[in-house]
Amino acid sequence: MPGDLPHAAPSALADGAPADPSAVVVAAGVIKRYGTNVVLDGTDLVVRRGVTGLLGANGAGKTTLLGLLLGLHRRDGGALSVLGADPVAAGPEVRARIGYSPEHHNLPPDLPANDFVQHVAEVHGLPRAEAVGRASDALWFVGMGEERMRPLGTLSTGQRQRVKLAQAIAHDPELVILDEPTDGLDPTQRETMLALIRRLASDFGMSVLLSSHLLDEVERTCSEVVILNGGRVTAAGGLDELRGEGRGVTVEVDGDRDALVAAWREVGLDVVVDGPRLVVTRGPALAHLDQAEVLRLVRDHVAHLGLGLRRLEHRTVSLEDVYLRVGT
Amino acid sequence: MSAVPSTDATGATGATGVAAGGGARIADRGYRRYTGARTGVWGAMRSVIRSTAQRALGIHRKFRFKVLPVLVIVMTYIPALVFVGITVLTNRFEQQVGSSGLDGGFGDGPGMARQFANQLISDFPDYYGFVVAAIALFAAFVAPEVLCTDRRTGMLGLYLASPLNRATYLVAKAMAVGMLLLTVTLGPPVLMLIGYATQGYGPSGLADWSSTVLRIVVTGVGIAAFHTTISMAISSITTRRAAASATFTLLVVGTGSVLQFLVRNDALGADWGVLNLLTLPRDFAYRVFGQEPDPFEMLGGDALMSTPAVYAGFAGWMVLGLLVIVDRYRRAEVTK
Repeated sequence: MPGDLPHAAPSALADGAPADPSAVVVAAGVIKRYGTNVVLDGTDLVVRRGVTGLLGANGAGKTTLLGLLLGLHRRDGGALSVLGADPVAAGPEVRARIGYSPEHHNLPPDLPANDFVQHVAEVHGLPRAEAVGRASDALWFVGMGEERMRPLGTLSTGQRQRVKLAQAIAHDPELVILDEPTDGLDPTQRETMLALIRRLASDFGMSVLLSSHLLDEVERTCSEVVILNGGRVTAAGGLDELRGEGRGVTVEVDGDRDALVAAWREVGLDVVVDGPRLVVTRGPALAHLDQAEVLRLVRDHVAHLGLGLRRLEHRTVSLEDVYLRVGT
Repeated sequence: MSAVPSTDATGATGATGVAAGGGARIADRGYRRYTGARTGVWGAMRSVIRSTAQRALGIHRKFRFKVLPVLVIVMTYIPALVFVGITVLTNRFEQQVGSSGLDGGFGDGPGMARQFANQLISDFPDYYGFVVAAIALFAAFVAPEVLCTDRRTGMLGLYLASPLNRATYLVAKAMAVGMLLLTVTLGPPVLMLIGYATQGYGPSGLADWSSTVLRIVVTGVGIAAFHTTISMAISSITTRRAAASATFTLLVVGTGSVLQFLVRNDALGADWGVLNLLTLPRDFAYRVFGQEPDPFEMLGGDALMSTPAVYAGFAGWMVLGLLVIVDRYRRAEVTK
């Protein structure tokens, strides 16, 4: 039921500034074409402070969206604000405040990790003396302190991922964009990486946009999620909201389900029959009811019809369920 | 003495301990927020220029990466050192002859030695005839090293995710390549000028000095810009350094050999020499100094291009190179 899912509806971008003070990225009707191929087709989204997951199948437009956020491409339509500015018009100023870790692991093989991170920090505007110290600090933060003088070509995939994270944060960005940061990591390394990403937001107040194919890591790391499909945002919002918590109840009963469903629909509840389960949500006529009132209404009808109640709980779905419904 | 682990206002998570006595403090405070000044686009460009020059010269790299650049630079300076050395030796010889009253085997005495030296040493535009191949070799090595590597290793994407954009990145790279090439296009003539001047073989008078210095600078900068644009254009076509170096070398040697053969055999007019990438920089140098190459000594054959053709060809190659560079980088995919 894609229509039931929350979908970011950004307010108009008046003079490019986001209306929501907690928003770090606001896109309104963003269009991007490559020739006749429409990659982003009127994308609307809001990325707020915290860790936000960007999900989507291959070709959904994730990489193009990241490129637009970095001001690397010109959009063909719509409005886009990153950290309060247009990433094309104010590209250098915006990118100085962004850290970016690309998906690929190709890094200059003969360059020591410390020199690499220091150079990227300098390129992002840190004075040389500061870059020297902060490169070392960032590498220690990601657990590469002991290995920081090793050439990048001699590092394992896990170590390179950590070096990529270090170069993305060494210059103290406000927004960190991570493209598949756990690609190629074993489970232990993944846990470590995800913990580091969570710390960026919790300890240092950075906003993180995490592009990933791995739903479980997004579920465990992110507070908000944006799902792209075919160049459009098909779902966006808080993780709990997307998973359906607080929006409807799941019921299993013994007896005449048809009569029960008819009774619910008569009072304005929406019902979906999912095997033995009945998923009940408030219809437009009952929009004023809160979750507890919906639950009571559902329970009272079961009791009124004298049916056996096997299950009655707030509806929850996994992010995978959501993704399979709207992201593929 | 006490150390106090804390998280300070900037988010530092390390021990920010301060000693109670003796002034000792823990310097490493761990990763923390940065609130200082930022250097902006020009700072980013400076960093790219410095790291690019260091990479091309093999600085902070293994010995084998230093061999070729040092060798080529030495090759371009050797003729200049030899010519200056001749003037030094000639002057010493003249002093000895003058003090001993002997003619030293030069007939009329010290003046003849100076005339002999003048025949041996090179004029400024002549100099490029000696080092034109070494300059091309240096360009064949430098631009691929600093451009192909960035695209092959994904550094380009990281640069463009910084305050740099495609234009400022390319300007920084071009400045780095150009400055490296200036060490071989401008450095040796400047060395010669200083050497000649100290030995009494240099320009005389303010006007002559101004004119000579200006011509040396224009020639050195022009030839550096010429090789910078063409070598960067070729390097923008492939991500493989060896392929770019080989292509540049083949283009320079190939156009040199083929055009020289065709022009010498009257198959083509002299102005087709503008396609000769090997000798065009040398011809440019002659024209800047208001001279023409000696047809019997130079590689270009016995036919001479017109001066407008030389300037037009020189500028045309650079414009073509620029167009290729801009087109290739405008279309470069950098977020994969």
